Amino acid sequence: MRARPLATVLAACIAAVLVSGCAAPAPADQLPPGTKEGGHLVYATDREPTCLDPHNSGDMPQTYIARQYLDSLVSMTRDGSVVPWLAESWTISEDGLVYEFTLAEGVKFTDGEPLDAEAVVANFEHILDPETQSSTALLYLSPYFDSAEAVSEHVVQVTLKRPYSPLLTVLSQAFFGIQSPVAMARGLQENCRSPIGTGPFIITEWKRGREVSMVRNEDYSSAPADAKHQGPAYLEQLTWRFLKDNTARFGALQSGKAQVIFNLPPESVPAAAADPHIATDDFVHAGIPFALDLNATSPALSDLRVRRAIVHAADAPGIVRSAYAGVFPYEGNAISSGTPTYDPAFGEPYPYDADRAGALLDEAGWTDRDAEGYRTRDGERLTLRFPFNSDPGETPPADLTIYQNFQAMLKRVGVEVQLLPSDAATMTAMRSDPTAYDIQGRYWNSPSPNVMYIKFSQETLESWATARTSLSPTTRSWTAPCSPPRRPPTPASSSTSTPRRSGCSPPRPGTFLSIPSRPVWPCARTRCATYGSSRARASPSSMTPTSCEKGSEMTSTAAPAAPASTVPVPVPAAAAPVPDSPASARTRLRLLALRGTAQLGSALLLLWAVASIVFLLQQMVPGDPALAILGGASANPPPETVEAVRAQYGFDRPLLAQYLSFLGALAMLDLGESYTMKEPVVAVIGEQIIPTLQLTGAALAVAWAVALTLTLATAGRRGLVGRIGSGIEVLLAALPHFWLGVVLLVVFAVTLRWLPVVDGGPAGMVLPALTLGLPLGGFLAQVTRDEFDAALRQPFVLSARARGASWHDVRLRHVLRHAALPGIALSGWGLGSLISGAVVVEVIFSRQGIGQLLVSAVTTQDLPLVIGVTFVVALVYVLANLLTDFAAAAVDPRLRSSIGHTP
Amino acid sequence: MTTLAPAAEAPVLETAPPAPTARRRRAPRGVGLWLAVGVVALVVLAAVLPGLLATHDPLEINLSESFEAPSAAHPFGTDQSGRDVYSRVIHGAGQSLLIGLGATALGLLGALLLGLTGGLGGRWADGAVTRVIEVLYAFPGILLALILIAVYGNSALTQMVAVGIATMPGYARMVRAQVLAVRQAGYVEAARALGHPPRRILLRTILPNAFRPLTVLITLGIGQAIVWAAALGFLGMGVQPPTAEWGAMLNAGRNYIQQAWWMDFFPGITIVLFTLSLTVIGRHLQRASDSGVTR
Repeated sequence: MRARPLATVLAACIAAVLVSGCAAPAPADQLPPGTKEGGHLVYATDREPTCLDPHNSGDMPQTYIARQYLDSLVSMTRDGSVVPWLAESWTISEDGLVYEFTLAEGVKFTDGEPLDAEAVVANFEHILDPETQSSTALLYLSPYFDSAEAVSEHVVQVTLKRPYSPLLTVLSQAFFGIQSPVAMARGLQENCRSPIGTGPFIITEWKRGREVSMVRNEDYSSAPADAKHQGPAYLEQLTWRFLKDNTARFGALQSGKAQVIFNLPPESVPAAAADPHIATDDFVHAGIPFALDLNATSPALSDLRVRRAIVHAADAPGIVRSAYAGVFPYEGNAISSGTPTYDPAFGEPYPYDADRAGALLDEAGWTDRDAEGYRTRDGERLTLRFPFNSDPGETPPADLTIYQNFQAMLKRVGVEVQLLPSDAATMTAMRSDPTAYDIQGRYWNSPSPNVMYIKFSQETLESWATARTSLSPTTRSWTAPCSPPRRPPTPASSSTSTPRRSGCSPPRPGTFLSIPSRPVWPCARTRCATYGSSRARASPSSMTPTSCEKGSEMTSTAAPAAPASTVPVPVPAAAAPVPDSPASARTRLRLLALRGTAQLGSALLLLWAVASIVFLLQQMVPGDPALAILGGASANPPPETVEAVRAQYGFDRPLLAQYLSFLGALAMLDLGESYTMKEPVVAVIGEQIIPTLQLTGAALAVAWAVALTLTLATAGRRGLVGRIGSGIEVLLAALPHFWLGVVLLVVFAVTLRWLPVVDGGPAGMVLPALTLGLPLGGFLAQVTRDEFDAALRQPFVLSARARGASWHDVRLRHVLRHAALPGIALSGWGLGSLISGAVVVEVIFSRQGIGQLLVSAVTTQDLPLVIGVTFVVALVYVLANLLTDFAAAAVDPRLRSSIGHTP
Repeated sequence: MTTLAPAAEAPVLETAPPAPTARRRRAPRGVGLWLAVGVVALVVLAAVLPGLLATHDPLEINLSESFEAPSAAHPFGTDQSGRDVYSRVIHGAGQSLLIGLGATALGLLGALLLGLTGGLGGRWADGAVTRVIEVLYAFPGILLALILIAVYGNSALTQMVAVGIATMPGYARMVRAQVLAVRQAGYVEAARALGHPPRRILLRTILPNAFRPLTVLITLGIGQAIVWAAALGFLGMGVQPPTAEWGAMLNAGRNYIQQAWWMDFFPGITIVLFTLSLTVIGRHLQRASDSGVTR
């Protein structure tokens, strides 16, 4: 629901791009020099549609993607005129009430059905059907539409209740894309997953939360009149990837994992401008720019003077400049400068004037001030509630800055603005309740200035109110003002028909107040290289050591220390070594087996406990898992579907029954299916855990390299060398991952450019491994050094030296083994903590991994995924401990007969 | 999270000549220590009386001064809304310290309960407690924090509880080990022989001795808890803007790394210095307690 900058590119056109920048379109059917047909384009965008059928809902992400597989009846050109598409020609009656469209012949849907008048009529019916829940239809069509009829095989007649000049423009939107009637008849849920149209691409798969894969429609023949190229697309494959995180998305572009990205974050614009491989495209969205709407029915804002005062106090141009770092210009008008018939004469009705604002507020009676400096009247403070969507990716940092700046500016004149971060479900509920808020940030993309009528007319209010009874409470789509940048001109058949969309803000009464606005949305294009994709995650690093006491009471000296990164802990490397008994090999083997079984038993117990706790905790999380499965509250599924899902997954069973069946499935290693991704959890985790393990392995190697080097070089030496070594260790161990990573990134990748910013290959692993490994290395070094010192004091050193061994020999061959022991024991724990730390590091460097999987799983209440990831991490922890047992035995012969015993 | 082992050296080491190492082991009261104490004092001062050290209002925006590099007027630069980063760092100290202390306190409380139960209870209790500690260890800390935040919302309290629970197993293990060790000690046996009631033995004898090594751990633990809380803030799971808090500042700064590196750098380095100072002090305390070890 936001205006997003558009970032698009013509793939495979490095030379052309570098030379011509955002060039004018090449003459039709002539490929730009240096490009060739075919290939696979990855397009990364920030928001994922809730349903791939754009008839449903009416949210911006839907229109962008639907343009790839659906054609519309007509196409709108850049200057606002309408040209033929699926409708070859049309006539309009004199009274403007009857439109007759003559369809192009010989066009087929990709499921084989013919495109004929009946199909088009079916589309109208579908979109106006309350079951489809189209907010677009409700606001743009229903007030005017009377009927649609198939006059002959290829002629459709549409009759209106009253004249409606924007009809053609409205029909050009992807929201009114023409779909196969057979496909639509499958029902909403099925159609949401795989709608069928006549467009240049065909959907092959939708991996929720990740991407939509499309292939070229080889029989494509219905390009619009203003397309740059008729006939099938040039691209063979198209992947529509969802990367919410701004840094990850831009990083994907920089590294070539995505060739085109949408919505270049304003903070990345300087970097994009500096990069010779990236070109940006931007334009102004048509419609109503992003503005803060004031609720005129709320008691505080019912006074016109107060509303005016707020606008005067806000300094909108300043706020916009600050939030977007000068990248987006300010638009002070009711509609954006990109809208047809825009007139600059109507800009800036209420310029920034804090004094005027104060005077107006005084006039309105808000003259007293309370202890904190806010204005009061009759003892009540002037407070404005401003909810915003705080779900990940919904409110970008720049927008948050706008809200905060607005809050601060208003505080100066004594008005309190309460910023209320809310999740999607709460936002939805609030929107349908005018008493719940005072301010809302919205924009509304629309191909025509008619949008003002939609936004401000009483009629819209009423029609929406009646529709409310048949439609479920407003979904996110209702308030989605979204700016439809032009659809990425794929070298395919693209037409220049801009999928301008009309947003769906439930008409709210309110003074129009346009504070900040973002009419210009840069887009970015880049070189062609395909890669993979990247994500980001985070987590605090927890440094807890592994236990040195599995199963044995050993030694009292107990203290398995868990270092936190600082003090060198003289871990009792002395695990009571089992004296080499004269027992036969058989007995030893039996002992081993026993210990192994005990180990396994306790590991299983541990895993069971972990799973149970997670199950319990997830039960405590508010929200309905059935809703989560269906795509969240914003997908707005009908109640019966929710009930059905609930029954299917057994959520209505008593807790104990659920728990038992959950344990049963777990025992068979069936971790279930992810609610949001609809894929087996095992598969999802399997894919994501490999990069994490690679990273942690590399980090562990780095840590040991650092520890050994420092220890060998500086341990046991007197004076300054020893102190320096000690100091370095302490410093390293104290560096938090989230800070170290950023510093390394800025210094080596951004400033010196020695290493890539985002890269899936070995080069891209250097900085993340360093970030994770250095602190651990510092800590390991401390431990190793202490043990080294302690071992140096042992008698065998003296005797070795007496025998004539060199210091070098003694240190390396004898003492090091002693010193390494506790370090090895701690590595088991270290690996576990590295995995937690990997989350932060993966965020900073935009890498794949299980960290972000975990974060998003918890946020979306994807219970199977949460349990799965927790389980896997616990498993790794257990395995790591077992491994270190063996490693310790390898290093210390004294322990060989006591395998299974942690030193 | 941070458990510190007491000087647990195998008996064999006692026979080694202590001389060569004594010089290094004796806690050097050098410049380092005083610097560390100074830093900690400054941070505590910033937490308690931010007004004294801050030069601007941390919430005061000044749109025309956004993204200014560090200068005389703004030693740490300004952020995207023109707010003074230095003042925000000062004001953030209180928030972060509160969470760090609170989390450590909670962790200790839990650890004491667990450790005492394990150490003093019978074999079954001990076994159970060990299992519980292991389970707590196996939990990725972030998961717990996420779930708690999902259930109870983003707030300082939730962060505190989450970090506290995460630090608990480390302390608990330490406490348990210490209690086990102390339980066998001669003076406990003597107290029992003297007929002291168990409660008195517990409170006056076992507890103080078991607790001694913990004091060092706590010093380090606070630093770790603050780092963890900052990491949560970095993830966006902490205090909501525009409140100044180190983690949240890091989170916001991350987006502007290429334009305004100072937004991320200065809060980060403050955390680093503070943790480092606590480490140095902790090590010093440890060295001091080592030399007078009581086992």
